[in-house]
Amino acid sequence: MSHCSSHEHDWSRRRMLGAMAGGVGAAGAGGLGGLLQPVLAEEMARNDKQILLIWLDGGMSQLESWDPKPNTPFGGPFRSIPTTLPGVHISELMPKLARQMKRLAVVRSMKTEDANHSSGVPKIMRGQPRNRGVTYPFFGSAVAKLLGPTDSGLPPYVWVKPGNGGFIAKHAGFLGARYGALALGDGKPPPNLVRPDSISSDADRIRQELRERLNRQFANRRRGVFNEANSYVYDVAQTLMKHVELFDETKILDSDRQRYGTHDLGRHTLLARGLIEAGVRFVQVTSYGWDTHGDNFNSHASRMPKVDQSVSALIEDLFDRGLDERVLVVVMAEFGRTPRINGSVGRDHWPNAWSVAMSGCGIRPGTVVGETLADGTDVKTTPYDIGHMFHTWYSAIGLDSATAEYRNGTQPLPIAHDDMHKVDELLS
Amino acid sequence: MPPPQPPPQPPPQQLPKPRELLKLDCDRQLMTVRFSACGRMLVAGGYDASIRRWQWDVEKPVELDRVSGHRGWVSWVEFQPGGELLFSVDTWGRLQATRGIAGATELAWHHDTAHDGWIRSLSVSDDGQVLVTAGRDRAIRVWSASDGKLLHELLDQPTEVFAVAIHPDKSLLVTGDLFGVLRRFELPGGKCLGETPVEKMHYYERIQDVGGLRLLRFHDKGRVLICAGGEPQKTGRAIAIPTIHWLKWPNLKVEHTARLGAQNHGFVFDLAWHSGGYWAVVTSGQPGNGQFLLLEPGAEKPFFTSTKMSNCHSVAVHSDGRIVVSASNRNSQGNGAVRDKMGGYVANYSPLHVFAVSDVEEKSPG
Amino acid sequence: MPRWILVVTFGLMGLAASAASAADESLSAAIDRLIDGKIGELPKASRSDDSEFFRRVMLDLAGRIPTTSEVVAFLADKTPDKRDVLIDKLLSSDDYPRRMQELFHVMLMERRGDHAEWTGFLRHAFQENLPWDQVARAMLSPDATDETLRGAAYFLTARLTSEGAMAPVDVPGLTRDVGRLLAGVDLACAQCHDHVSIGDYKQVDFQGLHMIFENMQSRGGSKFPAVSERVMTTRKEFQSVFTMDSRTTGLRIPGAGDVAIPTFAKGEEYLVSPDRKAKIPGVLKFSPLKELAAGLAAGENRLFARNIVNRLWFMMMGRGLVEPLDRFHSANPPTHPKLLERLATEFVSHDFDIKWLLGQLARSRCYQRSSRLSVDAQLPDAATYAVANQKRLSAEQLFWSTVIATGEMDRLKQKSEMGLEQVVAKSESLSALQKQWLKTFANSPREPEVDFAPSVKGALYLMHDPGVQGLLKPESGNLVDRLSAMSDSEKAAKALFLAVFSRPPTLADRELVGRLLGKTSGTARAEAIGQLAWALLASTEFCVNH
Repeated sequence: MSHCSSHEHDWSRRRMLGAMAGGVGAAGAGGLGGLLQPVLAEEMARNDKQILLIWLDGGMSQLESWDPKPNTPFGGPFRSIPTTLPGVHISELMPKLARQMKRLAVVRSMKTEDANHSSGVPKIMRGQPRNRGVTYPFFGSAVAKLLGPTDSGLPPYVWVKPGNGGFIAKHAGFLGARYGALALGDGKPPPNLVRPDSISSDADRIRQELRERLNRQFANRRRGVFNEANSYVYDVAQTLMKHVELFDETKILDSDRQRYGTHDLGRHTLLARGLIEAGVRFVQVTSYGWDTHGDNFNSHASRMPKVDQSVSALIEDLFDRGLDERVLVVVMAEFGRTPRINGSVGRDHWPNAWSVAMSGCGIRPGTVVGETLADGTDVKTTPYDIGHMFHTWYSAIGLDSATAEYRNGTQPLPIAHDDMHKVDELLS
Repeated sequence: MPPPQPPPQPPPQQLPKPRELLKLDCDRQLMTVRFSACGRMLVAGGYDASIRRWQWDVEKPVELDRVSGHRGWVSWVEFQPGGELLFSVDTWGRLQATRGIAGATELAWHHDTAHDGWIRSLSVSDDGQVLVTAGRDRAIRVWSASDGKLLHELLDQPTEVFAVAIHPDKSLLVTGDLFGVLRRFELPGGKCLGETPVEKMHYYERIQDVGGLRLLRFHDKGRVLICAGGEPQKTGRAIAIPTIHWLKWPNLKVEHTARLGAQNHGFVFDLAWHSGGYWAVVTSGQPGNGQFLLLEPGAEKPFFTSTKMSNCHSVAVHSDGRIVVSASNRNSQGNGAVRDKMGGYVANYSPLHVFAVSDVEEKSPG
Repeated sequence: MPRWILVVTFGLMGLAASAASAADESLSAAIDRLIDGKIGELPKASRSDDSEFFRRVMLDLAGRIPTTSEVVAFLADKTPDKRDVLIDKLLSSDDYPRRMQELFHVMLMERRGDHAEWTGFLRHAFQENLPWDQVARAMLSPDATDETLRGAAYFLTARLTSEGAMAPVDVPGLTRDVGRLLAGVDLACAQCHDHVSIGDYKQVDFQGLHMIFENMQSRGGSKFPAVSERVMTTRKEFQSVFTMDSRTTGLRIPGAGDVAIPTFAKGEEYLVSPDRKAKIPGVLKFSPLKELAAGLAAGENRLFARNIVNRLWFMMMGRGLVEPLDRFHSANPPTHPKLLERLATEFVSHDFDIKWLLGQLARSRCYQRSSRLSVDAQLPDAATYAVANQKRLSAEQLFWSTVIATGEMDRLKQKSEMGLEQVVAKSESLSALQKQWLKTFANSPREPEVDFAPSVKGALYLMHDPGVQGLLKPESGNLVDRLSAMSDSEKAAKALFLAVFSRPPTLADRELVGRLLGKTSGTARAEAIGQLAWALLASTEFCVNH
């Protein structure tokens, strides 16, 4: 196992203390502002855009989803079906999304370079920028930094995933632990979210005020970073508590449950919708187990209907509620799957020609960009890297990806790969 | 699971030992192989919608031209017992009957949409009069073999049907589904006579159901029902323990179970009865973990195991005792684009391995 | 490898230079000279007051806050050199081995798991103040025959376990960790090719170290963690994924150099042949692990010495002289190169005596500086040490401190000789709390605990967990109970701040307490005290080392 992967080429991990030591340059006043050092103050001020990323970990097959090649040597057993976009067909495994096609944009000409999960996943998540010796943040951390939380005050980057939850600091790369992901394991609220009956809200208010006062005294004439971080988590905790109903299963409508599905992906996507509506800036939903090196076709036959169900319900709801104007939805994985079918009746990793789908804010609806060869073995038109997608998505949410920069200490860093550009055909 | 033990001490009688006679290369991957009843032809269905055929009663098998008509994968081919037709189904839903398979072929009858989508299983009655198909569209259909007339249809099954078999007396049929549940249906009429879950032939994790009950066969004039497939251990990949259950008919008591390997050995893909008195079984799981096994009835472990073939998908037994196994080529897996010297994208194919089974005894040491 | 030679030469020069002054200048004085020299005119904090110093040094060397009586005694002590006396007392206390075992366990194992033999080994090492080179050699070339040292093998064996089909045994990870933790070099990105941005890290450096661990395995049949090695005969062949040319290497030890692999006649490789029936491994004539231990954990190995002194400096001062702690290379110079060399040299010449080094660090003005400026001014950069750095508390430090602060020790201690660990072990509720505490505040496995990274999980835990709330309900003898009995708010304020913050309350503190408690009595008073006590426990002043 190569470690060219793990901790993701972490050349210059900036510590909380190091990178953001108070007092150097324009550190700003105490409280939250001091840590953020926004470069894009104007964008931050009134940007209400949000992102929902659905991540199909392991590599969903483009041949069994967005870019089928039925009745070809590598096409596999399934057929394709027409969609609401004339001339466009997708896999028979996604009938509901076929009806939503007029709202989606699909790129079929993705071509990336990394065929490994352990190194490939972080590269895609980071937009694979040019190597500058720093660990770039994952998409969610980047947006948390660039746009900050919404007015709701909810943590800007929440990750709904199967398995364990917790705070995943390492997504934030050089931005610092602060911009990591608040992971909700199986969509459950963080433990101890609900205030026990033994503590009245008055008592809680009193003790929190006392804590804040003590902290202010402590911070006087001391470096503020530790106190800011510590205070911040309490602020987030209390904001989350105000939204405890998001996790109240009795409040879920039966109709929603049926439409999204009672399986993990359905429940988590429904929660993600709730989190978006409550004002979380960036929500990611992860589904695991897509690495179908064996039994690929039965696997996708079982899995795709769940993606079809949850994502189409989500798209429907966002558009029905007018949220498509400010919410960008992206559905992707770290690569696609090989046209060649292996002995295990499976498909292997395929970064060479795969697909990504998106919808909503800033995206031109009803678009298919790019084409692969008739047998799916390569991209036929202009290939796009994940850097192009990041430029496109940042543009969609109102950022000028070509000029915007982070500041890592004194080092300016472009937010996306400087040799790449947004894909105009994807933008509305 | 403990690893498969070495074959037990063979009893005093002579045990057959297969040896590979030859290997036919095929340029595509094949799902299913069958010998015609007369033994003159070997027929195979492929991933490229073609039906391949080889003349068998010659020194070295000769490939004749292909039979067309299908799309997607040809998922099963079966010859009509006592008759002249070859039945074939595909993953787009077409069912066809072809005659003249030994020479100039001719389409006898067909249904383009016998099912909506993948026909998972095909079973022909012992007298060759009737055949049944079942598929992803959750339908089971019974057809007249001679003219393809639809005799019965059982629609709206609770789930996708993976396997179907018709009883020799044609009074009922059995289905196996994604959840490892066996159902019995009376014919005609289609009344469901009951449901029996087959232990552990289903697994659910990370939004995926893995179905393990993939093959149903009646044996011994309908006195035994074989449920074969695997016990899935994990989703996303072919991680299962290949398993065969022999159920007494009609009380469905499990008389015997054989677990044929470890987790990486996957599923039983096909099995065939050999007149020598044993089963020829092929399994396929993780890439490179194919097995070709010979198993005596009632035995826990096979008396012959070959792991030389990469992944084995189908097996057919000739009346002269020879066995054909279609497998996958070696090194069939690999991430990214594997290219040949000219830069072309390399495809996989299914070599056909031909085994002769001699009756020469292999005395066990001591 | 010209760069290494350069760096080693520099080190030797530093050695020569400091040799002259070493005789007359203590290490702590040298520290201050070199640190103050770079501070120049920047605003500088004054010396910490007694309570600030006492809390800090207790946490650093004893892994806990002081008890109220300890604070009172130290503040009242009028002896002029009381700080030096305290430092020595702490270094020889029973708390010290526990504290250091906890610290090094987290540093070396990064929360991968625990083992009684490993804990025993670390405790023994710090109890006996074993020289660091001996400790490192025990880890790299474990001695299965020595009961006090054999548990060190856990460092290796814990990294040789598979975590299921999706996470097989990661030998390159083990190689990487040896480099990171014992030599301060993270060679991960040099596994498949020369490092793309760190010129000093070459693929041959990784491969030459890695082959040692490829040749080693965990000993399955052993009751205690143990490893065994095969006979090594050939050089390792490897290929860069960039250049595709094949090369070979012998053993290559970070900071030392190449070790040729000798050849033996067949059958002659062992000093003591292995007994396969009894499963006793033999003793190889050429043991790569022994070569590694001897080459890496040696006085001549500057990387080895620099790594440990940098980490011990980090432990006390809150920042490494080289950061990140595992990224020593010529393009990442230390903030104070002369100081680093001096520390390394003196540590080696004092036979890697950790207690001695910690004592010198603690005695410096640099260490004893306040973390607060006495005037309003822009705070200088952390790397100047002009103002003492705040430091993360480990889950363990926080737990012991909470148990002390809330008066659980007073409530449960049946005999005065009972130590902290015993009191907790004997109490079901505290043992359960300890487990939960570690789960909440420790990092995930493989995440180094270096940065201060408070979590929403931790905040919610302190806010709502019933076990934590239980600590703040009046129970005979605990803090809240004692405070509730005090009708005088001033007295209560003093007792509270001494117990939790280990310092007397300021005027503002006393006024705050007075206002809150006011004229409350009975349950209302106890409740108010509980809220106050919680606020102190949840505040930054308590959960940070400052």
